[in-house]
Amino acid sequence: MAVTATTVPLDVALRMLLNGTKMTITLSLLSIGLGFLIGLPVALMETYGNKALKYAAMVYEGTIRGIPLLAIYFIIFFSMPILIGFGLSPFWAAVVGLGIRSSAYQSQIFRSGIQAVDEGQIEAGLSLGMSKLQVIRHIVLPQALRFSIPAWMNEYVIVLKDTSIALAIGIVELTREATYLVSVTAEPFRYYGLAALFYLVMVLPLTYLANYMGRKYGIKGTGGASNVRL
Amino acid sequence: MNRNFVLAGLIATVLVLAVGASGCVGTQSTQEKVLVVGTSADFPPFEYKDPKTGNITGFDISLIKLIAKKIGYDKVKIVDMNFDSLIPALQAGKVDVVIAGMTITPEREKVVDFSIPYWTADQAVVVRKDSNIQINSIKDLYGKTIGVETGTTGAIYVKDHVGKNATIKEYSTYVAALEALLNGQVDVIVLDSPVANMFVHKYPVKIAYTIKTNEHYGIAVRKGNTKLLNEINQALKEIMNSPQWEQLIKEYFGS
Repeated sequence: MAVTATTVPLDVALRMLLNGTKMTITLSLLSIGLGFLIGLPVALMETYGNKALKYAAMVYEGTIRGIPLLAIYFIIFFSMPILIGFGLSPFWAAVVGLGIRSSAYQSQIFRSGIQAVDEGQIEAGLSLGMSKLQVIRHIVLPQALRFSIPAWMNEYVIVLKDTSIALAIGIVELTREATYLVSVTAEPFRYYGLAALFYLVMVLPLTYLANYMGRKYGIKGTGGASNVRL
Repeated sequence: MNRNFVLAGLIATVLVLAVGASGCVGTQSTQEKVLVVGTSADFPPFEYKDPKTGNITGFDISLIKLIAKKIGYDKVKIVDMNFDSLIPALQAGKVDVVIAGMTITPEREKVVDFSIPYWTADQAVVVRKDSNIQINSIKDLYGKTIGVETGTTGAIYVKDHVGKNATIKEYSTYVAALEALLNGQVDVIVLDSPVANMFVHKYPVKIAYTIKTNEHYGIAVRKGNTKLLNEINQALKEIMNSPQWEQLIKEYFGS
């Protein structure tokens, strides 16, 4: 049973890559979800908070965006146990790392969405006797979120591809499964190529979905300069 | 925005997190002794993922399982990751031991403790089958374009002993270096002989020369973990002096 560079049957290879794909998708969904839960409040803090909240939000997203994702993973996975005596499994370290990174970018996406809402509406709401919180909840957010859809879908695609970096802390996702196959067969073009195809198959429908949702849920009448055909 | 929508979304998120968290608490039976082993399954025949079974297997894996049994562990848990992440994982306590075709070097000895050597490897100088490059000594590498894998002992050796006398190209994996050789982008590649032996059968390349670097592979434990280290060394000595050793070699390297 000496191991020489072997050839792997296609169905076996596909099964391995599919296995990795499951992890890639799970990781991406949990991370984008966490990013949303943190990113939206941060965006609100940065736009409407008092000086202290605003500053805290800016420091948070500025720092996170300034650190490479790999460094974030390493800090959470390797340094956390040493610093605070409590560690995460590779999977949850990856979710938290990618989620925090995404939250920083998502906060900026939502901020742009908020800025796109016409301020006349806020004044109208306030003059009708609505409280600040009510204005945010009923006037600003519904529109801001709908404006954010295309950019948010783009962020999801980025998160999906960045899951591959988690292989550095032991997550067996799509790229890592491809590496296993490459090691055993010494055929990198075939297997990294297949993996790339898998990523493409995941990303392309998402792109179409993003455009579709942008059109369906976008607010009619807004769109400014993009409405005019030049 | 529909209030129910938001509520449903929140409940879904909480459920997902709860399910995930329950998984991470772990349902390990408290009586079982498990040895957590770190490896990097991209280095056949020492460790690799068998495509048919999906299991991580290899010479190192079989060896550590034998050792674990000998020193009283019930199970072995294999944790696979990037080669460069192995030592940080060991230091952070994510794994108990590391076995990964890892060469014992002074730099590594500063941060981890190694077992006695269990394997000696050399560096192979590989050329294309149709090339007439003759290498009879290191000096014959001067003036050539040499491909190596970054961070490996082969790369370090070539830089130290040939250095500016040749053009050195570094690749992130030995497979990339192999491709470069086949494409003609490099004249020779230098890499661990076990790895070279693996693909000389499949590709039109041949081993032109073996640099006797006498590298030793060792099993790594956290610095100061003397108890485990002594147990591993004892078990290693017993296995290496028993017929199990020949069997292991035959199984993964052929005869």
